[in-house]
Amino acid sequence: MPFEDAFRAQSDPYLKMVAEPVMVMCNHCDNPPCVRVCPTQATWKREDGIVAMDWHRCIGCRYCVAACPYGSRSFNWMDPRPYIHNANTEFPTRTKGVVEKCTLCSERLAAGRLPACVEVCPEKAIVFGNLADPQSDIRKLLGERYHTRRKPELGTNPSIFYIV
Amino acid sequence: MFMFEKAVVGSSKYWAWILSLVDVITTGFGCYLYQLTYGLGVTGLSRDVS
Amino acid sequence: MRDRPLIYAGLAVFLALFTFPLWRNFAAGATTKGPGDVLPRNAKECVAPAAYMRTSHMKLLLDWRNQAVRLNNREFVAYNGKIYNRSLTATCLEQCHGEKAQFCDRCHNGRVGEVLGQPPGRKANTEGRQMMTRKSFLQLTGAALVLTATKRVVDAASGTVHAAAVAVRPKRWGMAIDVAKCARLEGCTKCIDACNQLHNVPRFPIADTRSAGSGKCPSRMPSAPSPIRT
Repeated sequence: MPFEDAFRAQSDPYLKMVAEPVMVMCNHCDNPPCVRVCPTQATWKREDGIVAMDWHRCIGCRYCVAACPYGSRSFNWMDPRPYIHNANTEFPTRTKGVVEKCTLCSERLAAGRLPACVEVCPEKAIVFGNLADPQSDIRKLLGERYHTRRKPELGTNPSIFYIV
Repeated sequence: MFMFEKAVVGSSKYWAWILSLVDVITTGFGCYLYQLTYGLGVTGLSRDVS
Repeated sequence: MRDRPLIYAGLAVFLALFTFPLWRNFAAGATTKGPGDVLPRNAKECVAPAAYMRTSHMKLLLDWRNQAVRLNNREFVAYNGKIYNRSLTATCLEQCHGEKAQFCDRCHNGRVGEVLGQPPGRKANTEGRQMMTRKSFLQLTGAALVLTATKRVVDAASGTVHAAAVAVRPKRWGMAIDVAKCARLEGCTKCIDACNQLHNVPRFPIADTRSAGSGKCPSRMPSAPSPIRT
């Protein structure tokens, strides 16, 4: 997604990377609107900040899709299983009629590994860590570099920071 | 008690009308079943208009 | 009333349909007993007393699921003080009971109405079977409380709980994306591909991402850009 689209309200004509693409994903907000609107509590905020999702409890009302200001949720309009190539048997597939979202690789975190996107990046452009720990790499990095978050004016308080 | 008997007699025009109504009902039911099996994708909705 | 035979015939059909589940179970030879237990060979004790497991194992599993999935609380202190991992796969199946096909599926064969663990034909008696009695609840909670308390004391005495550990705040995961570094990798979609591959994200022939703009984000899971400009 182009930078200027990801950061609509914060466009800066002097910023160099206006046309550069950035990775956008679920922001795992501290104050998640999707959790507030879910009628079945199928999505909830974990203690560690991850906005998690229970696909068994989702009834496919798509309120969260409408509520998410980042467009980070998607709905399975039809059965996704025929369109999955090289399925990973370690992770469940989902059915039609439920909403999906980024899990921040919580299953890998539980096993003590980094999220897949962090691990695979050749430039190590993505840093992952514990924001509550002042000694963590991510806190140090955020202390040194100028960073922003997507749509901060909404008060959702995202956990995903962009270093610009 | 005798209402139903009145409903099963009628001209061929009447029966043609009833058949066309039944046709509408079955088409609607068939479409419902299709949506049930295929998913909401049959509506052609997308995230922006849902 | 000349419609009398018609009405009685209709009533008979209705009754037959209404009681169909009973007839079908009767014909299928289903009993109220269920297939019977298969006890593991090498283990002598369970996470809860046998009587409780017999009546309420689904309640326990539901509680485990909520604790593990929602509250990230995997440590289960059993009635006898042992600590188990709250996991059907890792604890129940792998440690004692073996295959899911033998242990779960013989009763819970996926038929409608058996979600709560009632073997075919068994009548629902939610009060007695699903709920713990108050007495057993008090006994269990009391035991658990005493045990946690003793564990604390033992821990404190052996010095495993020290000031630093107490002061640790809960984790709060976060991510920082360096836009300039990311932009250096022109056209790279490795993060998205890895995520999609790992999480079984489908690739629909009609793109869900018409509005993706640069085409950088063909994914559905980590990102789903909206064309609505806000």
